[in-house]
Amino acid sequence: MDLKTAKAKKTILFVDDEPDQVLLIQTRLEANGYAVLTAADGETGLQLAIERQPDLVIVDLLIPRLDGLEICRRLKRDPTTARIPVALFTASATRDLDELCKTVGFSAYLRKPYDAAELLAIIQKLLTAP
Amino acid sequence: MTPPPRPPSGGAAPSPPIRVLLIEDDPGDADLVKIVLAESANPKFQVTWADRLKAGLDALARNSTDVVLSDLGLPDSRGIETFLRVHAQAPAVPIVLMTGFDDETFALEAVRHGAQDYLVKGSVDGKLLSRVIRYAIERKRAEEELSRLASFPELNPNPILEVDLAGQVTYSNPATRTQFPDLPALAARHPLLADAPAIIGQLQQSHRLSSMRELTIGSRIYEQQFYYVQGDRVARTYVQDVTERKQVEQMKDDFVGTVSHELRTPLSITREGISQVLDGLLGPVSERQVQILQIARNQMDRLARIINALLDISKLEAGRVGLQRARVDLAALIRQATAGFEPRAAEKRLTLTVTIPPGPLEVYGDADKLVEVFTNLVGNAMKFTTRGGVEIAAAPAAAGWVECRVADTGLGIAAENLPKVFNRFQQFGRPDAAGGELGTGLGLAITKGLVELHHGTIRVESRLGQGTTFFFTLPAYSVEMVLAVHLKDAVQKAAMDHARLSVLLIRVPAGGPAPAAVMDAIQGALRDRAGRAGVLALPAPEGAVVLLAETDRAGAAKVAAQIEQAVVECAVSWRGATYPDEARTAEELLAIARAR
Repeated sequence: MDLKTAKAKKTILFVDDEPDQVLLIQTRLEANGYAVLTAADGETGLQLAIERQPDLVIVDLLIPRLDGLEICRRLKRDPTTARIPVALFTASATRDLDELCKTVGFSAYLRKPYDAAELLAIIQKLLTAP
Repeated sequence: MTPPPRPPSGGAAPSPPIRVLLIEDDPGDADLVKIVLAESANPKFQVTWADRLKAGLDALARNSTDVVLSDLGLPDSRGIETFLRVHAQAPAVPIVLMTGFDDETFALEAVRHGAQDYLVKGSVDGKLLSRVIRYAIERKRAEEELSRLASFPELNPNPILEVDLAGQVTYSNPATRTQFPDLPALAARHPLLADAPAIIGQLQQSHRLSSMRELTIGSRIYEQQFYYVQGDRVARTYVQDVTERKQVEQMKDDFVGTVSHELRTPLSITREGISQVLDGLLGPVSERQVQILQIARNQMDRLARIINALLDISKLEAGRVGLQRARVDLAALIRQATAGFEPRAAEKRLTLTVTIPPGPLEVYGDADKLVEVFTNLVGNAMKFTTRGGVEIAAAPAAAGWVECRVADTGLGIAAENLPKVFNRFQQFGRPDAAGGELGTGLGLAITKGLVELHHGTIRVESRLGQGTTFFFTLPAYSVEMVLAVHLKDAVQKAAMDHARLSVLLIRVPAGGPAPAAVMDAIQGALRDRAGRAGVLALPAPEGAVVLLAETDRAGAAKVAAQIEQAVVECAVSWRGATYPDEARTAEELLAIARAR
């Protein structure tokens, strides 16, 4: 598969404070040919995004130090990271996620519990979008 | 306490005699009273005579007495003391005193202490005495009733206050004084009275019948309800300590929040872990392992559905689910909702039949929610059916409703379980092992909630081993039904808010402007109310109906006048009806507006 060749490897930054969740996402994404960066809090995640310029950032809504909304706002405000798509990963059922995408700047959202096929489809779509 | 009811004067049937206890030491005076009372035929008097206070008290203790006639000056008691002792012996019995010219002051004092009346000896005739006795009995009864009613606020464990328009307390019950001892000292600065004049002013103007506020005083939370009393120009306020209830509500909200958020993360991780092994990400898996892991993942999916259903039901119960109503093609909706079940029906060799009469079948409802209703019921029917099939039918029924039916030839429900079918977490019978989603135990409770949100009703019939049929009604789409549905919504809201609601029926004469033009003109007239919640104009067979929340008759008349001016093409007439003054149901309000 093309994606598995080192050159074409896309890098995804996943920010979540739940280590088990991080391990599983990392395993799933790496098995599908992505390079994965991880951070357990918002500040580290933001720093990593600026330094490493990943192709996609996935953030959990509720994480320590900077929450997912704030990470997205700052990435969109910074011209060096504004083009990176940011996806929201959340367990919330009560928030209007379509509205959040519009107002905060997320490119997509994924609700927990998720299906792996659904996760991969969203990622593929965001990475191939112009 | 209260003496037995006894009509003061008879009509056709003679009333039982009035039992008089006469306490009088002078035999001449006593005879006079006895003779005078014996002359009365209707009512009859039955006189018992005691010539000493002690004998009188003994008689009171022994016999039932309707009224006491007593001299104040007796050999064994004098003056006010005589009255007080008789009264203490039988506080519920009315007492009329007989006095000489010289001790009228004593008699007046006795009246202040609760005696019903007094007579000055020598000026007594039969008619007067009979009337005084009957009035004394009646007045005593009225007093007893009043003091019984007064005991309602007085003995109420919750604080009750009456406040005038300036915010001054005109009454407070004992519970107020024990729970808020600092009220008199703080007066208007006390939280209970803070902003009271403003709240009462708003009540006067907005035509709401009551308003409620929440107060935190010290460590307690109170709900304070204000009722404005028009005639008296005061507000009564009822205060209730709701600290415990609020704590329980908070716990419930927190719980739902925990369910929605905290349960999903571990669920998500567990499910993905199972999936990764199942998908072979971590190496080859045997057929047996696949089977077990699939069971585990199915149960994880079920848990996710239960969590979602719990959230749905708690939203429904809290009245936080709103409907996006529209004209819905029910036939298409049913076909769409059932199409998804066809592969499973084929797999289980079940028939899946949709029976809908030819011609349009439209309802007024929320398409997404109606799909959910059919999906729940058909899914349920499929699950409990192994032979035969499932039939989904809909047809027009009486009075502008559509009756829908989802019938299966499955397991059926035992008669004793039928009343519990719509309860939460009630599952009867095990679904067959062959595939299908695992139940949440909440589907039918949600289905019932959604049907009722559409103002429909749902019921179930079933015979064990033969099958189950759910029947439910939905409002058919028609001008009349759209009107009825919104009116029902508005009445429910007004009832919940303790607010008024006025309905205006605008009649457009035959040959008048087109309905659309009338609606435009009405919308124009309502423009200055635009954005106000609860103002809604709807087409009606007569022309239009305007719903005005929180509006009384006078307010509705003003709006009607504006509408009359706005429709320039012809002279429209209007009739109104106001909730709750004239009627309490949607149907009655509309009937009143139409009847006038």
